[in-house]
Parts: sequence; structure tokens; C-alpha cells
Amino acid sequence: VTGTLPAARAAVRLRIGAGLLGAVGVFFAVAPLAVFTTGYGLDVARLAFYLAILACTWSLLAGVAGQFSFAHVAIAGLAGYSGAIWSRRMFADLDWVAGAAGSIAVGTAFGLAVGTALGLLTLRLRGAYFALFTIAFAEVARLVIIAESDLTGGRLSMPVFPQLPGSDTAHYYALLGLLLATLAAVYVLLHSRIGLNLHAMREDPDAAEAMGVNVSALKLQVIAVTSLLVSFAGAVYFHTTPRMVPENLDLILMSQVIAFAIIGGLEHPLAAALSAVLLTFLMENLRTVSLAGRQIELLAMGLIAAAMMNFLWPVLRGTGTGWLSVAGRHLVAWLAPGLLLAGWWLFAPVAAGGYHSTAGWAVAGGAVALIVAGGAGLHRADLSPAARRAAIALGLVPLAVLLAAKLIAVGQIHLQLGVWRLAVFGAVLVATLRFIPNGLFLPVFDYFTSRAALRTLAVRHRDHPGDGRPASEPEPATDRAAP
Amino acid sequence: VSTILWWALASAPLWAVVGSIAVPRRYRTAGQDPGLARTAGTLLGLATGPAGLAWLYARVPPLRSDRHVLAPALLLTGEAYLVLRAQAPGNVCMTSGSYVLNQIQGGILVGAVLATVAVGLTLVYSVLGVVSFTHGQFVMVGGVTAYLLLTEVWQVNPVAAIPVVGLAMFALGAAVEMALLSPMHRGRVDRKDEYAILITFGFGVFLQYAVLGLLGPTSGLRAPRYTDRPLFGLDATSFTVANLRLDTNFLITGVVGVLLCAGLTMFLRHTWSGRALRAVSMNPQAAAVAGIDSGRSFTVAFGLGAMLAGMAGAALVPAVNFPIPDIAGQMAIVSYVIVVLGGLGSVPGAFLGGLFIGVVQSLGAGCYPDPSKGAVYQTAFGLVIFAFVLLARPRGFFGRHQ
Repeated sequence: VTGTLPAARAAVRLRIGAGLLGAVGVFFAVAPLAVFTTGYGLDVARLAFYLAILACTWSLLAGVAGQFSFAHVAIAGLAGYSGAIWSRRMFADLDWVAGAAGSIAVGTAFGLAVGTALGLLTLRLRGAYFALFTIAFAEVARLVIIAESDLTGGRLSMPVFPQLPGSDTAHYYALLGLLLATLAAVYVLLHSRIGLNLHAMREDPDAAEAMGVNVSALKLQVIAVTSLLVSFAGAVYFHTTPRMVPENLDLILMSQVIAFAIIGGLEHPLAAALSAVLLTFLMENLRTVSLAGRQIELLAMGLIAAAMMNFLWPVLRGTGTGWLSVAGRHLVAWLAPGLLLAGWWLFAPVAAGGYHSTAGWAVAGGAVALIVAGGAGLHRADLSPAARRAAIALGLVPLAVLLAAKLIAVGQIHLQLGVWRLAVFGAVLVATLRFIPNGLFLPVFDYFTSRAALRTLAVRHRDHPGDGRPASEPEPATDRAAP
Repeated sequence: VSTILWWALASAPLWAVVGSIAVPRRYRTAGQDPGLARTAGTLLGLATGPAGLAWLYARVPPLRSDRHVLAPALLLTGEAYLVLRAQAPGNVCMTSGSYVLNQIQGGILVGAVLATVAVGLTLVYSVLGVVSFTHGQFVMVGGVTAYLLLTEVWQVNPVAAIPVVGLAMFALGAAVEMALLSPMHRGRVDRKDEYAILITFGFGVFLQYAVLGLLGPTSGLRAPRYTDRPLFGLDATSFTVANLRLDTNFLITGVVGVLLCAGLTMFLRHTWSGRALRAVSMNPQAAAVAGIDSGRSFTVAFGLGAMLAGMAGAALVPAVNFPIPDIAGQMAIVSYVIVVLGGLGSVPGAFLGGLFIGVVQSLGAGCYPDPSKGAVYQTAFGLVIFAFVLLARPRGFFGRHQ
């Protein structure tokens, strides 16, 4: 490790990233013993791993290589279907192990062939044309599956006859192992010469070609490799589920995979996989949630508390450095909204009329007053006009949320979150793309690793003065985080 | 004989691919103009297999569009007809001329609506340079809005709902453009093309789930028909002209589609806003120099695209069983096929392409031996055309020279 910030940051990122990944891995390795004790939990976990493989490889294909394929899920589904059809039609009297293994092999080979053919056909297409063709291909693949009902079972379903041997727990470990292997393969690929070439190709295909990268071959290779990975994953996964349904090829599933990748970080396959696992569990848990009006109000208050911190922060950054002024700022920024919320939560139900009581309105009014006061304080703060506008907008959002929540609570409306969760998910997807193009995970990760790196450097600098650049020196602007 | 025929048919796509690759290469090395080489090579490979390709390869004649594109295309059509005739002599499309005519007539009427959707898509592309992946969802939202208006609010003829839906959809489209797409044009986004694909797709996902949350998954919305609340006493669900049996609801839908396309053309040709849109689509810099606010043009164009899609949905909902959310995917894919066929960015291309695809789908579904499969395969015929156009002529048949 040299004394420069990028080098220190790379080292810290690797350490913290490996630690995080290891912790997640250990959690899922021991989870069947304690957390997923039911078949249902194991089912959801297997689906999460499968979707994580899809999101991770899609992020490699789209985020790293720039090939926005919408046929990713369809290829995996076709692999599952072709394997199942083969084992059912051709070799019904094989024993389980040979049947399942043969079926997985056939499915993988078919998926690889379809993916490669698709890659060949679309070699000359760029950007939107490629996306258009793959989206049409995916939809037609699903329609063909539905139409050929004597072969595939059509809209209803088709039993995947030779299930993988072993219990649910064994299947769980098989999928977990497959996910880890896929992650390792993608990681190795990204850090090889091919990964460099892929980055070059995405940035500018013509320039890459001029620099000696064989763009056509590279495009074909990346689509073939990702097809192989997802076909194998699909073939294995569908052999742990009882039935194949056309929804396995649906664009809705594809859109979920895309959303997982974007929310996690489109250009970082590992972050995409992590986000797929977490969000699959979250969406599954939200399936049956239905919020009463007052719960929504509670949630809204929580949101407001968080937003107010943001809102007040520029005002409260202040200039005083004495402990009293610092403590005062922290008190107002962090504690006041929290205390307000806690007080409202504790006392509003026991006051006459419950949550919709005078007390509830009073506390809400207090929150509004705080926001207005913060707004007034903005005029004294040393802010650029843009920052001031942003802060005011940020302050108006919680106000609107608060009013809406109050109306919902007064109207005693029941929000079926289970029904609306996917719409919320879509809105989060759009907002992430629009405002945080790097995804939700990486900025947080970067923030903490940068601080850790700075700390490391500061310590080094203290212990070995003169070793490399000082920690305070700004990092070069060209430094881009390596995946 | 049938085995030989089968192999000939199966190898035809292979020869098409060979032709699309080898012939342009040959023309380039021979120093000839390779402009039509790809189209001609693909068509000739598909129609005549190795024989025609060998002739083209050996002689390298100067290519003419009538002799080397139109003739193979006609030959191909004839061959397809003969093959179908030989394979399925009892098929109703081979035996009944009036059935075929009726299918064509129905296809044109549906095609006019498809053309409206595609014209909106192509308008957005020509002005913004963005393929909207939320276009199918706009059709769905337009249809759902019209359905809610007609069942919950208004007891009027469904035609009256169409302009209202149009206004609402224009507002929605303009708002989406301002909120989500405008950062692209202000240079705030790193990779514009990818951002455009993802953000429009993501918004489509949101719209789809929001409509599902509102209505729940249904197999189809049954809105009041045009003939249920008759206009000018037009309450017969169908009437016969000569041999043609016209469905009144589809006829009104088709007429609305044609009127919308005509209205858009008039707007683009005869109003200052329309001319501004055309100017921006031809050359944004020159348009800016001439004093056209390109940001406003982008907003208007995207709003118009959403409006056309939504109005097409509103015109369709009183005529068919409107499946939620499948209609979004179906309409999106059909309109992609149409705009690629007509050339991305070409309004007349999109209109003619829409009519053509409508007829192809109608004939394909009507003539497919198994009717239930034929209905499902409608979209698949489109994909075959899509793949073929991409092979033979990637900029479409009315596309601009770039």
C-alpha cells in the first residue's frame, strides 16, 4: 500500500467489501438452521438466489458491457422448459439422477445456443435497436410457450418431473453454491483483460475497436457467457421447483431483475446480486402487509423526522466550534424530531380520541412549525441559491407527506401495501435512476470506505510522516471507483 | 418430395443470413455500390437459395430496386403461397376469397389503430432521439382512463371520451418528459441512450403496477361499446357492404385511428409548433439558431406521443376486451415492429407499416390452422418480420439516410 488516497481506498474497499460479503455469506450458510426453518422460507430464499444470479449477470451484460438485453430472463426460462420437455418426452424411464443431470445439461446447452444465436443476429444493432429486438424476442418466446400447450402445458403449467435429489435444505445449498460460483466467475471475468475491454467497449465502441479490441467477438462472447450462466442457473433452479409456468419468462420478472440491478448499482454485479437477495425478501414480506391509516401516519412521521434532519442540516451546520454550539446543533437536528416522534407515539393513543386526537394534530402542528422555523433560518444560512432551493423543496416534501398522511388517517383509509408494493417498487426504481444513478448501496459503501481510508491514511501519516502524499491532499479527479 | 421441401424451407433462413453477409462484402470488394446489396442478398437468398446467390456473386450486376429487390420479394410471396397451398389445401384462406378479403379489411381497421400508436412512438424518436419503452403502458393507461370515464363518470358515446383522454395523456407525457427526460438534454446524464432506455422502461413498470394496484389483474376490461350508446342511430353491431362484413365498433376505431394520424400530419405541416418539431428533428442546432426552444419541443413531442398512444387506447377499449396488463406489452411490441419496418423516425413509414402489420396479423391469425394458437402467434409473425427487416434493411423501408 502506497500512501496515496486511491490506493488506500482500494485496499479498504477490498477489505470491507470482502468482510461484508463474508458476513452475508455466513448468514445465509447458517440460515437454514435458525431462520428459514419452513419450506416456504427456503422457497423464497431459492427464488432470491436465482434472481440474484439473474441480476448479477444482467448487470455484467448491461451495466458493464452496455448490451441492454431484455431477453435475459427468457433465456433462463427457455433453458428450464427445454430441459423439462427433454426429460419428459425422451427419457421418461431414466432414474432421477441421470434424468435431472441430462435435463440440466440439455437445458443449459439450449439456452446457450439461443443466447448465441440472438447475439449473432443482433451483432450489428446498437443501443435502442438491440433493446427493441430482445424485448420482442422475450415476449414471443413466452407466447410460443403458451401456444404450444401440448408440449409445454401452456398457460397452466408443466410438471418438472425429475426433481433434484435431496431435501429442500439441500436444494437451498445448491442454489447458494451456484450463486457464489456465479459471483466468483463474474468477479474473475471483470478483473481480467476481458473486463477492461468490456469497459472500453461500453464507453465508446468505435474508439475501442480502433485500439484493437475486437468488439464483435467481445459482444458475442459476453452474451454467450451470460447466457451460459443464466441457463445453467435456470435449469438447476427449475429442477428444485415442482412446476414450470410461462410467468418464468415474463417481462414482469425481467423488469424486477432490472430494478434489482439498478437499485443495487447497475455497473456493479456484486451490488446488484446483494440488492436482489435483500429486495426479494423485502417484497415477499410486504406481500400481506396492509397498513391502517394511523400506521401510515406513524410512518410518515418517521419519514418527516428523517427529512427534517436533511432539511435543517445546512442551516445547522453553522459556524460555531465550541462544544455547546456543536451539541446544540446536534440536539436540534437529530434529537428534536426523534423526541417529537417518540412523544407523539407514546402519548397520542392515550389522549382522548386516539391517534386522530387534538394531541395528534398538535404534534403535527409542532412539526410544521419546526419546518417553518427551519425555512426562516435558511435565510440566515450561508447557502448558494441552488442549495437553498433544494433545501426548501426538501422541506416541502415532508409537509405534503404529513398532510396526506393526516388525511388518510382521518379518513380511516386502509392501504393495501401488498397490492401497491410493486407500484412503490417501480417508483423507487424511477427515482433511483433519476437521482442516484449509481444505485442505493454504492454511495453508502463509498462514503464509509472513503472515511475509513482517510482515517487509515491519517494514522499512517502520523506514524510515518513523509511517506507518500499527506492525507489532506485531494484525490485526483479522474479516479473512478473500480468495480 | 415433402422431405426435400422441408429441408429447402428450413435452409432458407440460412441462405438469407449468408446473402446478407456475403453479398455486400462481394460488392464492396468488387468496387460496386453496396447500397442495396444487403437487401437484395437477403431476399434472393431467401427466395432462391444458393442458386440466386451464386448468380449474384459471380455476375455482380449493378443493383436496381425493381429487378433485384421487388422481383425476389414477389417471387418469395408466390413461393410462400404455393407452399401453403401444397401443405394445407383445405385451409379456409385457400378456398374462400371473401374470407381473405374480410380478414384484410379487419386487419386494416385494427392496423389504423396500431399505426396511431406507432406514429406516436416514431414522433418521439424523431424529435428526442429516444425510443420510449413506456409507450405500451401509455396505451394501457389511456384505455383504462377511458374505461373509468365511461363506466364511472359519463354515460355518453365512447367517442366523446377520446379527446378528454387525449388531453390528460398529453399532460402526463409532458410531465414525464420534464421530470425524467429533460436532464438528458441538459447534459446532466452520463450515458444518454442507456439512461433513456432504463428510465422509460422503469416508468413503464411503475405505470403497469399502479394500474394493477388500482384495478387488480383482470382478464379483460369490458367497456361500453360504441353501438351501446349509439351516435347518429348507429346501433347495428355489424353491416354488410358487397361481400364485406364490417364490424361497426372496429370501423369507428379504425376511422378514429386514421383521423388521428391525419390530424398529426396536418399539425406537423401547417402549424408553427409542428414545423418547430420537424425542424428540431432534422437538425437541433440549426433549429436552436433559428430561435426554436428545443427543450419545449422535446416536451411537446413526448406529450404528443403519449397523447396518440392514449387516444389509441381509448379508441380501442370500446371495441375489444382490453386485457390488463398484457395489452401494454402487446401494443409496445407491435409498435416496435412497425417503426422498425417503416424506419425509426418516419411518420408515413409508421402509418403504412401499421396498416401492413395489421393485415399480416389478421391474415396470420385467421389462416393459421389452429385458431387458438393463431391468436397467440399474432405477435410472433411480427417478430419474424422484425428479424427479417433487421437483416435486410436495418434502417427500415422509409428511414432517413443517416
